[in-house]
Amino acid sequence: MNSIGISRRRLLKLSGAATAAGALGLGSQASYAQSASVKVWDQYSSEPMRSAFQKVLDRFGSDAGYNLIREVQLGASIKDIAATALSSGTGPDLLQYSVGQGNAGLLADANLIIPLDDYAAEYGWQDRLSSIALLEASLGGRIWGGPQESEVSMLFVNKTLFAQLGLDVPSTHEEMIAVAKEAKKAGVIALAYGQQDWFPSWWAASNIFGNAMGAKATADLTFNNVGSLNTPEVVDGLEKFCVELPEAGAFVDQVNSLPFGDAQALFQAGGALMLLTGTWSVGAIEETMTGVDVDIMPMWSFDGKPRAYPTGSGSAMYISAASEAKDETAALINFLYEVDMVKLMIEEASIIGPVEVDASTLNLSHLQMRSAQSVSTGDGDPAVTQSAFVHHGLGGSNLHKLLTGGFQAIFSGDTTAKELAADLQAAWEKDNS
Amino acid sequence: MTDNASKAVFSQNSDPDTPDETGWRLSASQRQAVFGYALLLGPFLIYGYFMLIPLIRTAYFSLTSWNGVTAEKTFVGLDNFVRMAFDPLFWGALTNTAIWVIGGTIFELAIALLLAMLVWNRPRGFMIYRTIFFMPMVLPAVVVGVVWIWIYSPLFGILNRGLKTVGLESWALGWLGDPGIALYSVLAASIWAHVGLSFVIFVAALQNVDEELLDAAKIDGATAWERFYFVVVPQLSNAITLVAVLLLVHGLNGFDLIWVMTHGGPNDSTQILATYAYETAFVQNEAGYGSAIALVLAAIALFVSVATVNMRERTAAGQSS
Repeated sequence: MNSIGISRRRLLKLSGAATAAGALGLGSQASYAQSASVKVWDQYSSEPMRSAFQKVLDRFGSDAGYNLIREVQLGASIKDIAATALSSGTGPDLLQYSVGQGNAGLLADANLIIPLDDYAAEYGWQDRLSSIALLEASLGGRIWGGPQESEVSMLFVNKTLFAQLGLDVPSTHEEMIAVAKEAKKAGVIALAYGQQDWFPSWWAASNIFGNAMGAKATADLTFNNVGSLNTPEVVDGLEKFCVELPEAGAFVDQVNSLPFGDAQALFQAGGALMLLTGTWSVGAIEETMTGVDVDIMPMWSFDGKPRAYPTGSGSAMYISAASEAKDETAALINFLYEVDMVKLMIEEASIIGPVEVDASTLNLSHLQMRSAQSVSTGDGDPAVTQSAFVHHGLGGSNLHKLLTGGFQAIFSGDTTAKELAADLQAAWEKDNS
Repeated sequence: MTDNASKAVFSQNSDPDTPDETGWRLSASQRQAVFGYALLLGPFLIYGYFMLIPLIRTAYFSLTSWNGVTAEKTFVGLDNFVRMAFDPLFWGALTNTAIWVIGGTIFELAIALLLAMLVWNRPRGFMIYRTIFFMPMVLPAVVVGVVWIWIYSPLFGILNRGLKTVGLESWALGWLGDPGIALYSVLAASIWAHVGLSFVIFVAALQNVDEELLDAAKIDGATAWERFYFVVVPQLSNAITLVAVLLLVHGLNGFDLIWVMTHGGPNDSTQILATYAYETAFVQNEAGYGSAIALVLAAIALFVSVATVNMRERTAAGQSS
């Protein structure tokens, strides 16, 4: 066996050299640390969003010369770790987090993030960003976050399947009831909707409230705490969606047992005429439903009232109060609003930014274009056709819990529309007391 | 080395309790005690840091109104416990915890014993059966949860499809969506996942059952059930007690499978104390109230553990006397 001998003297020399090299390495690290280093926690965990956002970060890193450290977090777990990480000083400089008092509001209350009004003024966000996006990222009249994806909740419509069954796309509740009955006869589900997960009922509620109360009333309640969820209109809307539609056979038999992923898979497989979700599903729908004529539309009308898309921001970018690179982090947020970056995100990841871009300059598919239109104008007068996500804004954890549990209870026959509306209002008041 | 010899080596002072010029000298037994405590110090520090301090802090948080994020914690005394007494969700979660722990223990114990009895005479393929029964034990709870969500799926699930195929359409239910049966559906998945360990313990214990007693009972005309109940079960009493204790403690630790499969829903019908405490503290952002619920759960777990261990020791003492 060959062996390499080494004397004690030689070992000491080598150790000295290694120590010196280590010291030099530390020195170079220290000098590098003096150039800005920004740690980013984002929630773009799946493709193609993940890669598209990486391109944006790479571009910023090379343009600005900053050292960007990206850590992708799952949306489901970030709420568990963000507050602890921020308060312990190990968190990111830039945090992508859900908007609203029940989410980012807690971080703001704990002084874990900083208000961005000064940066907003410096970069002119008030003029460049959509007003509803800024409103979504605001708390108590101050801008706390840089809004990210602009989105609406709506229905995907399989027009090919509608044509095959000889049915018209419904625009009123009565037409929807008729479609549900005909679809059931044909062995097809009218509306792919499952609420085993927490969030699908939140989207459903926002669609119901927007069409029942009207866009302005919904936004007034969501952002200004003006109005009530315990109204005859809301009771009627809940009755129509949660009682009359199941009776007409519009859904799968066990809505409470169906996870959202399975509902979406049902639609993608051609087993349902419509799917209740939002613009965030465009990428998945396009990828799997090639050759199928798919469109989007707002929820059908209740009693001839206007149909509105719940519109808002899924999340916003927040700056940690503990960050030592606040200016650089704000510059990164502002970079996300560069037109080229907004175009990159919408074209490659179907993420619609809060900045208006000329649609004619974009290379978009039909569904991406329809999504952009719905986000931009709501297919009409935005004052009428764009309502709010009621679980954003001032909606807190009590409302969130009841939007899930209450909807499950009414579908299982354990509560009524009238009781649910009263409970929802009580939860709202508890959140805002 | 004898005690005297050690004295000779370590102590030059003839009177161990008399100080010499270097101070007090310890006797061998004292030194042994000090050495023992020194060895215990490390584990105690680790236990204290990771168990006692968090427990004490949880007890403190339970007396506060705190959202889990802000530095400010408002002392509210026993308000959280008073609130708990009038909280229907807490009582629902407590009831579900009792069903989960007691039902889970009884059914899992019975199924494991049944399976062990079926392979007692080492039928052909015994190794395969043992592997199949034990295999779910090595699966992470998340995997078990996802697999059973698929099994129960109202759209694609093999359970409802199988029932419909054999003409039992009325038995095809919303297993995880019906508040009346969701808890039992998750419990079934839990039993499937964990029955393997109990099964292995019973298989090992059955090897020690005296078959001559069984033969004698058979000659005396005992039925199969009587032989099982009056001959086999008493000889398995230690194993049964061990399995029961393990299952009770494991049941009180239940959280992961419920969280993966239902998040405590639908409409809180599968909420047990552990999930309710977590949801209250980390989803509802009521860390003070969540801590109070967690403290009650800890007290119940402590009581059950002490009671079962006492019972086991009493049983063992009775057998030995």
